[in-house]
Amino acid sequence: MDSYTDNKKNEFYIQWHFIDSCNLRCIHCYQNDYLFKEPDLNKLSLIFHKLDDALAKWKMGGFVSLTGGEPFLSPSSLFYVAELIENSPNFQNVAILSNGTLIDENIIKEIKRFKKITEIQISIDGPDAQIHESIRGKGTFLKTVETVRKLVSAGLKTSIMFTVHKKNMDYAEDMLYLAKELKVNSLTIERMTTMNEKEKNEFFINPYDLERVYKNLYEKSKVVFAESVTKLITSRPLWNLVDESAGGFCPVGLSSVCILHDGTVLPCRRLYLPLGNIIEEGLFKIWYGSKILWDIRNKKNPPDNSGVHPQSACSDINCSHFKRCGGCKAVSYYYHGNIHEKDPQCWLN
Amino acid sequence: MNVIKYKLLPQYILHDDGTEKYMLFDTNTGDIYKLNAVSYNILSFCSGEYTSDEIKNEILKMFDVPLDILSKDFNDIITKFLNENIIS
Repeated sequence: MDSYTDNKKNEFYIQWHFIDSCNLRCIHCYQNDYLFKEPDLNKLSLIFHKLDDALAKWKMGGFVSLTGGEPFLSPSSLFYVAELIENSPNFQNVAILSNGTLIDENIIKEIKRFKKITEIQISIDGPDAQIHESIRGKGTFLKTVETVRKLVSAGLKTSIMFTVHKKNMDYAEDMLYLAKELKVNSLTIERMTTMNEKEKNEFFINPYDLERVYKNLYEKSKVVFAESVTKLITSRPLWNLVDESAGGFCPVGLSSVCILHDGTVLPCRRLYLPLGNIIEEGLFKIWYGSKILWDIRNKKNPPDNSGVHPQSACSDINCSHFKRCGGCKAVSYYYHGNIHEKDPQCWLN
Repeated sequence: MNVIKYKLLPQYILHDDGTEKYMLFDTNTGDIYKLNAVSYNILSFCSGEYTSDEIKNEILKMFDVPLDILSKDFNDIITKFLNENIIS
């Protein structure tokens, strides 16, 4: 028996939904419960210490996205967590993911106090008020855009998240111009994960439309963002189909985890398969003991009746994009009921 | 006849990833141990239900090894696991 140590200084990503409440009711949101509940600071502290212990043991640098709900609905809780992180040698960077409707000058001043808060990501779901507000609610567009301007002029690294689905995909190209005009550092395009039949009918983009949208965005971004500070972020699965140098294998189960406000651990916010509770069980027990996580890491389907483990469609070494794609497990899960099935939005035959 | 029964302590998780890589995880400390196939299989039977002789019989069915060699290895492995507080 040999003790096993890995001395590589890698990054571990944590998406921490430290607050459940939100001031908006976006039509594509993953959340069911919006009632305002002030986060329990004791619970947040316990979660932080479990994460801190795990990062120290693994000798990995933590990169945390603090989100909700809407994180700025409780700035005191947000900055309480940020303070804990700021003072830990095991956490490297913090991003805050927000809808941008509650950030004022005082908040920006407070954010700037933290060296480890390195990015603010604001969700914008359309290039104008009509599209954005049809998704995020009346009166949100100007408020959000104004926030982005303030963040940029304060010198904070700012990015826009555009969640693309059937209702806004035709406006994706216009998002490039908005991002450029706002002088944000990056524009990230993320597919919506449709989680049931109703959402699928309403929002799911078929693979051939997605191919058109992605290819158009990729090509146009070279022109629109030329000599601009703004970059198009293409590190997620399927972008590799557009350009072999783009895309990236999803880190779910390998170097990332999602924590909800009450300590529930998920592989990813889009993949609602609770693995346990970090407060009650700690991260080690969940990370090493979860059958779901081992199944995600194991690039094979569960055994069929003959006991054979067929290889996952999106982990198939015969797929030329295997190393830098792998598909989105959540999209596959909700579409096929199986994380190992082919990403239903992949346009390759 | 040896009737001692061993049990893996509850904080430990055994894992076989199907590619002949055997691991033991300590969920209290996060320590990870690499195991060989014999150690892994011995620990797999440390559920508190099997006696030492029963475990050795099961291992003999799995590996082509003479009983005297297995008995020595078994004792060494069990002693190590007991000393490390991995089994009781």
